[in-house]
Amino acid sequence: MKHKILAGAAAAALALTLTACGGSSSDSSSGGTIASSFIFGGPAEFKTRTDGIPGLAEHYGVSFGKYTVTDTGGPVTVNALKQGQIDAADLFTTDPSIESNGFVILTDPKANFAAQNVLPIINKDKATDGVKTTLNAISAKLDTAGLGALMVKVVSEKQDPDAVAKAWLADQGLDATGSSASGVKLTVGSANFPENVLLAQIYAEALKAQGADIKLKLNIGSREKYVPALKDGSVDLMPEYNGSILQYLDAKATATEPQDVFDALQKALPSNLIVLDQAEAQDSDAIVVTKETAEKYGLKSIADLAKKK
Amino acid sequence: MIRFEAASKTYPDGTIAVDALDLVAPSGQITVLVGPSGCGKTTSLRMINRMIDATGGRILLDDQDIGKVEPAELRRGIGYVIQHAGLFPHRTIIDNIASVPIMLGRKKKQARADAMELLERVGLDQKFAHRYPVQLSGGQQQRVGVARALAADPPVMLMDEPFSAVDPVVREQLQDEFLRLQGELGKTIVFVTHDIDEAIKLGDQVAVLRVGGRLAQMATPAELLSNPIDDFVANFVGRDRGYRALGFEVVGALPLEPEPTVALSSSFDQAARAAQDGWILVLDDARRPQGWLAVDDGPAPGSEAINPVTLRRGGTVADVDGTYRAVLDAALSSPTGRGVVVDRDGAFAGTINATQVVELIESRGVAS
Amino acid sequence: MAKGGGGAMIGQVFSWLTDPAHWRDTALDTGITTQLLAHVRFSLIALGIASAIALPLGLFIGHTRRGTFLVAGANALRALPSVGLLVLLTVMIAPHFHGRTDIGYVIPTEIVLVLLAIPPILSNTYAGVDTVDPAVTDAARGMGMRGRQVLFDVELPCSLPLILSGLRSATLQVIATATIASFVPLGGLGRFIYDGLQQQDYPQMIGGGVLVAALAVTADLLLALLQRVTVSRGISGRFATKGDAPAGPIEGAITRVEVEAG
Repeated sequence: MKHKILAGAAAAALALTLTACGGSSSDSSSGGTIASSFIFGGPAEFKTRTDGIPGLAEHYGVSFGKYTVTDTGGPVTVNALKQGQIDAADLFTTDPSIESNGFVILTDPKANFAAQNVLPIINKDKATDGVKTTLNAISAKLDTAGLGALMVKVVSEKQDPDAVAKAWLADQGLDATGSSASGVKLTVGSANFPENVLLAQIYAEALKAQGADIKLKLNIGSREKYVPALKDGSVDLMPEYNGSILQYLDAKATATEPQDVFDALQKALPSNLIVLDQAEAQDSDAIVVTKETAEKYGLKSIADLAKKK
Repeated sequence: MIRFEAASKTYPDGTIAVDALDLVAPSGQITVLVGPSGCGKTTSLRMINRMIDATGGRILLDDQDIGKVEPAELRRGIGYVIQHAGLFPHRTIIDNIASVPIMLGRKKKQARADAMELLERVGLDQKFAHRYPVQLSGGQQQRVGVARALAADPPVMLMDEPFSAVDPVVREQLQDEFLRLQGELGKTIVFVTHDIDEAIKLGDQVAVLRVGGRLAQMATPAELLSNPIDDFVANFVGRDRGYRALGFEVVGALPLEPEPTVALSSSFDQAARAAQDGWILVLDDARRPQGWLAVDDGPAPGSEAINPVTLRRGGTVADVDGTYRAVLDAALSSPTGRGVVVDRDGAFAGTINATQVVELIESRGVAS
Repeated sequence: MAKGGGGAMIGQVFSWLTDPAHWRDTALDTGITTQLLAHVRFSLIALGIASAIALPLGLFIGHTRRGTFLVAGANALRALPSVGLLVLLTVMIAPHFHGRTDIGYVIPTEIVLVLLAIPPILSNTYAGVDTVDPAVTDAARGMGMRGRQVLFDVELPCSLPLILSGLRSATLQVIATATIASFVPLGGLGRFIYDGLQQQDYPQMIGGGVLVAALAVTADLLLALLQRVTVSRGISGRFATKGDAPAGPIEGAITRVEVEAG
C-alpha cells in the first residue's frame, strides 16, 4: 500500500515537471514584424523606463515578442546575445564587448534614448571651490571616444583601473599637484561595474593630487544600495549618468536632450546633493544585435525592427 | 543435538572469548550456559547460529558441521530469542510472529492464522494481534519474541538472556510458562543466563563457564548443587545450596489437614463462632484463600460483617504441586503456623505445619 | 516608488497578488502561474537528483557503517556561497549552449541546488539507519534475513521518520534558494523579488517573497501528509484512542501476586 502511494507521488511529480517544461521559450507572433519574432534581453527596469520599451513602442512602433530579464548591460546579457538565447539586447555604448563580439548597434535616429552624460553627484557640503574646479576640469576633457578607449584598456586588456586613471589624467594634463582641495575629507563611491569604478578612480586621483583626504568605497552595488548611502552621507561623491539617475529619482521624467536632462535633474535631486558640470562623454543605452542577425534581417536602425518579416 | 568440538573464538586483538569448548546439548532438552561476565556464554551461543564465527574447532548441528552451511540458511532453521526481544517496531504483533514463515514463502493468510494460534500459546490475548510492539509491556514483548522464534517450528532454539530484562514477578511467570511450553514441544534449547537460580530452575543440563571461555562443570541441576566440582563452581552456585535445592523438588503427595473456614460474605459472629484458636481462615466465593482473621480484631466498624481490612494476608500460599521450599515457606509465614495449600484452581485444599514439612524433607533422604 | 506605512504596503502587496493580470503571461512580463511552475520544476529536478544520490548513499553508509567520512564531507557543502558558485558555474557552462534554450543556465542552477539539497538528505538518511535499535537488526539477522532484506524490510521502514524529515529540510532549502535562478536569466519566483527590487516595485518584490513562502509551506504540508501515510504507526506512535497508547509495565502482569497476598 505504501509503495503504491510513493509511486503515485513520484508520477504526479513527473507529470508536473513535464507540464511545467512547456513554459520556457515561446514566440508570440502578434503583428508579424521582425521585432515580434524577437526575444529581447535587458534589465528589469528597461521594461518600464520612459525611454525603454515604452519609448521604443512610441517612437518606432517596435514591440518585441518576449522580454527576458538578464542584467544591466553585463556578462549575462552579452552571453545570452552571443549564444542566441536572445535576439536583441540593451547594452551600453562604451561596452568593449560590442566591438570584441562584432555586435551591431542599431542607430537611434528619433533620439529615443535620453542623454547619459557622465557627471559627478556630490554632497553639497563637500563641494568646495577647489573640489568643484578639479572635477569640472575632468568633465571638460572627457568625451565618448576617450571613455570608450579607456574601457578597452580596463576590460579587454585587463589593466588596473587605478593605473589607467592616473595615466589618463597625466595625458590630459590634469595631474598637477596642488592644495586647492586640502582639508576636505571625501568618501568616493562607485557602482559595481568597471566603467563606474574607473570614473571613480579618476575623480579620486585628481582630488588626491589636490590635497584632499580620500576614502574609496568601490563596487557598492546598484542604485538601490548607493543612492541611500549618498542621501545619508556615508558616501559623498559618485560618478553618475544624467539620464538614468534622473529616471531613478523621477520615473515620470521625459527629458531626453542633454541640457533638458541636466535641468530636470537639478530639480529632482534630494536637498543635500548637487551635480557638477557634465562631460560630453555619454554611456547611453544601445539596442544591439549580432552581426548575423543584422545581415539576415537587414537591420541598420531601430526603425528597421518594425518592418514586416 | 548440538556438539561443540574444541570450539574457540579469539579476536584479532588477542582476546580469547571461548577457549576450546567441548560440550554436548542433547536433543529435546534445555541446556543452560551460565557463568560470570566474560565467560563466553553469549559468544558460544552466537557461534551456534554463526552470528559469530568460530576461529578454531567446529560446531556440529545434528552431526553436520555448521561451518559448511550458509549462515542465512542455517539461521532459518533455528529459533533465536534475545534479551530485549528485538521485535520489528513497524510491524504488528501478528506480522512479527509470522516473519519467518512469510520469509520462507508461506502464504500470508495461512501464516497469520498460525501466528494467531501461537499468540495464544504464549499466553497472550487475541486482542494484541493488531497492536504494535510499542504498545506492549516488556514481558508481553518477550512472549511475542518467543512466539516469533517458534513460528517456523524449528527443532532448535537459542535464547540469550530472554527473561533478564523484565521485573522479577514477570520473570517468574515467563519461566513457568516457558517450562510448560517446552513440556509440550520438546525442542533442543540452548539458553544463556547469568542467574544461577534461573539456570537451575530451567535447565535439564547446566554448563558453568569460567572467565576466559572454559567449561568448569556440566551437570544436572541436582548434581551441580550437591557435587560442585571446585570452589569456583561452588561459590558461583552460591550459599544455601541445601536449602535452595529444596526449591527445585516437588513434594508430591502432601499430608494435608482439614481447617475450618468461612466465606468473606459471612457475618462476623459466624466467623467468631467457627474460630478454633482465635483465628479463622477466610475464603472468597470461589474458595480462594483471602487471609486469616483474628477474632480479637472485631467486626467492621458500625456493622456486623467481617472487616476485610483486618485480614492477615502476609502468609504465602503453596500449591498442592509445590516444592518443599514453597510448602515450608507457607507454614513458616502463616500467623497460625499452619501453611495454606491450594489446588490447581487456586481453591483451598488444606493446611500443613512446619514440623510435618521438615519430616517430609528428612524422609526424602537427600543430604546437603 | 510607493511610500506607505506597513499597513498600506500590506494592502498593496495583497492587490498585487490578487490582480489576475499578474497571473497571466504577456510579452514583457511572465505571469505568476508560469513562474510558479518554473520554480516548482527547478525544485523538483534538484530534489529528484539529490535524492537519487543521497538516499541510496545514506542507506548504504548506515547499513554497512563504511564511508562515514562522506557524511561529514557532505555537511561541509552546507556552507556553500550559492550565488557565487552559480555565477562561477554559469560562466563555465553557459557559453557552450547555443540557440533558444535555457539549458546552459539550468545546469549550473541545478548543480548549486543539488549541492545544497544533498547534505540534509544524506545525513538524515544515514542517521535514520544508524539509530535503528541494534536489537532489532540483531533479531533480523538472527532469523536468517540476508543483508539486503535487513536493509529494505527492517532498517528502511524504521528510519522513515528521519529520512522524510531530511527530505522536508532539503525541500525548504531548495525552494528558498531556487530564487537565485534570477541571477541568470531564468524564471522562477525569484524573478519577482529580483525585478521588483530593481524597479523599486516593492509590492512585486514582497509579493514574490510571499509566494516563495507559500510554496515552501505547501510543499512541507504535502510532505508531512506523505509522512503520515507511509510511516508505520508502530514507529510514529499515532494511535486511534488513548486506550491504545503504550502500556506501562504493570498492565498485563497476571494476578498471581494478588492471590498470594490474599
